[in-house]
Amino acid sequence: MTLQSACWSLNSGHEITIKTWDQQDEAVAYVHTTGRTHLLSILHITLFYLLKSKNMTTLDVIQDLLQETASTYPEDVYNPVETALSQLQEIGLIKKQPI
Amino acid sequence: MKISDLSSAEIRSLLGNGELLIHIQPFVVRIKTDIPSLVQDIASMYVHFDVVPPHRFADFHVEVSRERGLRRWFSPLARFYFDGRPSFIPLPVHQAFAMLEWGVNWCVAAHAHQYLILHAAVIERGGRAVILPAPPGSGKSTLCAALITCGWRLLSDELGMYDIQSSRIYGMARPLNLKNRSIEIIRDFAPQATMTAPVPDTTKGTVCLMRPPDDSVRRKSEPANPAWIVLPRYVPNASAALAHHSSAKTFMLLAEQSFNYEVHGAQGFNAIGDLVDQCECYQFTYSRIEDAIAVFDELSLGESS
Repeated sequence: MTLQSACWSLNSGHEITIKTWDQQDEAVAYVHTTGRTHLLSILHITLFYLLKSKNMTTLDVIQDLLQETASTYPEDVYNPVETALSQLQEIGLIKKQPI
Repeated sequence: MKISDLSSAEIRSLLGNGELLIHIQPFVVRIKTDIPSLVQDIASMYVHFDVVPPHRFADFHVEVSRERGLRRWFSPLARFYFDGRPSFIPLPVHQAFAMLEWGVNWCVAAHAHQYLILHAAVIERGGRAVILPAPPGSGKSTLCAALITCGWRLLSDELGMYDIQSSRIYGMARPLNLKNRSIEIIRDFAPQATMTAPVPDTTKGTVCLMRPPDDSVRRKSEPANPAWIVLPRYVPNASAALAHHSSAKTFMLLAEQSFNYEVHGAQGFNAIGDLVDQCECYQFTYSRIEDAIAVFDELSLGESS
């Protein structure tokens, strides 16, 4: 799942379950769709400095990231993910772009 | 009663009538065949397995029989039947045993959704299991075959059945499927191992089956606690080395290598997450079997870095 598709899922009302591991900057996410298919991938996000600076858990950071991106860019006017990431970098929510 | 308690004539008769029921814990499979070489291979490879009386319930009813028609006189084919219906394309009759094994794998993978089914070899020592999920060609069956001749218990070389409720893993301890160069490697490494004759020109190259150890078959109903997930990779001339593998990437690989992850939906997601949490995750490269065994011995003793 890319960050873009995760945000799209949030905007379209789907619940997302995210699983993270301590001291690892990768997570997996599951979109609760109504059909058989679902999206699943790794969110490549550098988190360690955020954990230190904001005293947040990995999961908190990812959820904040998704919520922020989704609210900034509603589904109908969704910008390319690169633009969204630039915004997030400006507000200090991410350190580098997802791979 | 075990297969070993039956005479060749009895096995042939039961198979001919579709009355041979083999207990491949937790399933019972009813097998029918009219192919003499398949009768021999079943008798040899399943020799330690329990036989169930013919009137009892069977989970899977399978048959591998010769195709009718003129072709049977010059290039005979065999076909796999599931519940009396022809399934899959027919294959040359000399591939009958491999076809039976692939067919039974399909039966389990397509129907046993009470488990999360992983395409993985699973071995155990001291109650703790190593799960070896890997795509074909990674050397997992070779590694698995070698390790079970050196003190590890075989749960499976192909299908790991993870019980979501208990977080334990099961296997059926069925014959191991060896391919191409791994046949020669295991023959050299474990000359005492019993194997079928190599079958060339299958879709997977040359294949042969290896008989599971008696002790593994006897203990096939015992689950194990997943402790390690090891992604093996055969690299020519590489020294044996374990390297930590990220939990997220391991999760992704397990999901990809699961036959029914999508069937379980969110429960499958949580189950794989739990499985990864239970285990230390490694990538393992090796070239020499002896070195690989030493590394796995250290792993089981808790001496890996």
